[in-house]
Amino acid sequence: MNTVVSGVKPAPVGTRLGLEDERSLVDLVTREASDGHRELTLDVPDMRCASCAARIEQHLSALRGVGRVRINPARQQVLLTYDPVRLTLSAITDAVTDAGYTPVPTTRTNDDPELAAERRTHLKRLGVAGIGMMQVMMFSIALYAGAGQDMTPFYESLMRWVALAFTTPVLLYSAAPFFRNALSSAAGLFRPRGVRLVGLTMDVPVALALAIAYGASVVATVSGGDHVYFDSVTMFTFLLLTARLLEQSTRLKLARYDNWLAMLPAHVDLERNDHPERLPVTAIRPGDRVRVAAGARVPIDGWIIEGASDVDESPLTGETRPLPRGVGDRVFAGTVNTNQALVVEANTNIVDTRMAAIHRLAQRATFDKPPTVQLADSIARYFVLGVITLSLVTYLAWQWFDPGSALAATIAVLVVSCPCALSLATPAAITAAATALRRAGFVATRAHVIERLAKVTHVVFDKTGTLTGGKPELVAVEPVGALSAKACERIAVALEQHTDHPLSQAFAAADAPLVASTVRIHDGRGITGVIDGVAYRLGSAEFCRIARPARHRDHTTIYLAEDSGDRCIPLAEFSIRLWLRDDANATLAAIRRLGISAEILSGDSMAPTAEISVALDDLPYGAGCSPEAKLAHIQALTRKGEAVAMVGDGINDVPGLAAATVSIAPADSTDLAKTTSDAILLGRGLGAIARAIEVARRTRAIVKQNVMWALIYNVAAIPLAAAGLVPPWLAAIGMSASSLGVTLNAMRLTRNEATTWK
Amino acid sequence: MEVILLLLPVSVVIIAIAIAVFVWAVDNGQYEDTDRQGDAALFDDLGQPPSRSNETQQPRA
Repeated sequence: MNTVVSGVKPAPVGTRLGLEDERSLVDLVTREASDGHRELTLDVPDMRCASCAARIEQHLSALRGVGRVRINPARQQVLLTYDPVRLTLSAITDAVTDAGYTPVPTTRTNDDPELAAERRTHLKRLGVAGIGMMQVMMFSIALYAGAGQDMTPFYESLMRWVALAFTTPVLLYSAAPFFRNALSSAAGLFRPRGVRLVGLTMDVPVALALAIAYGASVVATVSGGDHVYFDSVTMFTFLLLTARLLEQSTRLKLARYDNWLAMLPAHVDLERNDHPERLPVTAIRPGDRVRVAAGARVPIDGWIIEGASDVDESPLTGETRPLPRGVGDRVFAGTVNTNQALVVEANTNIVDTRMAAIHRLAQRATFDKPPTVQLADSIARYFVLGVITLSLVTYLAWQWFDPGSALAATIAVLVVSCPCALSLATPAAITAAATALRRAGFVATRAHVIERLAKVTHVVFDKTGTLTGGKPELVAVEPVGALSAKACERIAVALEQHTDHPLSQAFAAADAPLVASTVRIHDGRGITGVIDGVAYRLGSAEFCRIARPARHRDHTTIYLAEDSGDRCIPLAEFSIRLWLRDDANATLAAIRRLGISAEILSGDSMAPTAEISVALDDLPYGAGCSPEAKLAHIQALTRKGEAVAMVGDGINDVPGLAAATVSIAPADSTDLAKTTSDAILLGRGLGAIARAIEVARRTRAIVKQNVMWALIYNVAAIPLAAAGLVPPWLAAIGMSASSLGVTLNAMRLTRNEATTWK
Repeated sequence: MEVILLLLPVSVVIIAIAIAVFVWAVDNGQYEDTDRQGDAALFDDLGQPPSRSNETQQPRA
């Protein structure tokens, strides 16, 4: 049974898209996960609160072959892993359909015809409810006014009958989705495989309230009772539909930044085997040549093989300036080719592009539930049950005092309560914050990042490759042994080829390269290797067992030595100059302004570290730190009660990154550092760190506001309603405003970012 | 007061017409994109903001 809020009844996804048969589609909507499992993301547009999420989770977890299931109610998405051997894609989508919801694979876009149809139906329901509400209100005013001016019973009865006539289509057409959802949720209670009572959705009290109010009014109209509630019924329907429409378009707006496929052009001009074709973007395979017009988005990762142009990489890196790119340069999917046509040779297919990878990492983070969200969820699940019990108690209690007001108070209790404010409060803020951060070039890969980042009191920076950036420059080569400077450099080049340490970029590739064998990398200290039967060491003075002072003390110095088993013969001394990142100073100033202390922890020697420290306004520093020393230092800080953010790029930073409260890796880090880190910077600079801390703090404030608001609202409104002090129409306004308020409050996070940073 | 007996059916007809017009407007796509026409006034060429040119090439295959 389908229960789309706006009433469209699409066939289950599996059959509609023929997912079983279309292998390429399975490849597109699912991804390779560990041990043969596949990872799948589904949009569930009619999942609105924690109770819905719990129902879907129960249905999916009951399937054989399903691994981890994670649900994000704010984004209305489900992420799960499954075993493709034991389970088909359509079995999964069928399970979601069985739970009473409509699954849609996430590759759809805003312009999806089905989504548009859904929105249209919703609008029509809203229009009917709105026009109906206005009419019924007028008749209500006539009834209220007439009561004071002795309206004859004939006209009073006439007004009631007309109001009934206008309310009935509103109830049957506009409010239909609430009844359908409530019924399928209630029906779930009696299924043999037992969905527990906590699976009741928010639509149950809504439908109960509407049915009771309408039913009582019809009875009063026919038999001449005291009260009719037609105005409350139409108004509640109208306000709820409005709130849901606004909520939905807000979520769509957030999701829009998310749908990476929607950013790419739908079709591309492809040249395969010298044969031009126009194909969907998903058909691109490695080796295809793609023509990218000026002003168009690059659809695929690859190399430029024809033309030169300026490429705007801001969607990937946050860097706003277009950068010149020519033949042989790499370009990435999602970037914009600003001024000249290019021909790009693809080197991946669409799902393996850098952009897709970044989105997957970031998406994973939004599916992990931070601790505060888990708490709100577990409260919300019991909330609906509590509300229904409470309304029953209210009704019975009023029977005792004043049976005439019992119905109004019961309806008010059912209407006024809103667990969605509670369960949406945190996820909405976290989702909005993640979106804001991503646009600033900061990708959180774990759920706790935003919560922890807000608490950070101390930032530890690695020096080489983190505070410094760009290409290091080899300033001088001093031969100290038997070999010439040139020969020493060639040996060093051969060894450095095996590492992606930032310093290795100082050694340009030679014309006739030497080949090093049995190369070993000693983290944070140096490299050993054998060239033409001679063993060499390349690294710090200590690593090469050299005691003499460096010639160029201000520069970073590394040594080359011949390793003859028990002793080392020094061969050369390389002086390398490192360049501070452009925005390092501004970033540190911004971090200090936030009241956060910072320091450098470098594996490099004293003098060059000191030089960087001076350039950064006497930033405190520790030099000559081994990976173990970095780890120990961070552990000591944590024991003192500091919340430490570690920013590091190298393999030698990995232990430190793992121990820090939050770990951040710059864009050009080693892969190991990136996968160990909680967050990755996309741009060239460090500026995003200060911004991220700022956004995280604002998010924390907004989450607090939202949760406080939801709690205060419910704690204040429910007793008032039970006491009969809230008329049903006011309850309707309160509930809708409360839900909408938390969503809009969270949206402020994305809005402020746009106005103040760009 | 008897005139109300005439006015009520008239209002029902008018409301029916109003709903019919609204449904027509929705089906005609009048509410599909409430942002773009507003933004379009800010751009000189063709009435379409250039940054959206890629997004309007939907629907995809």
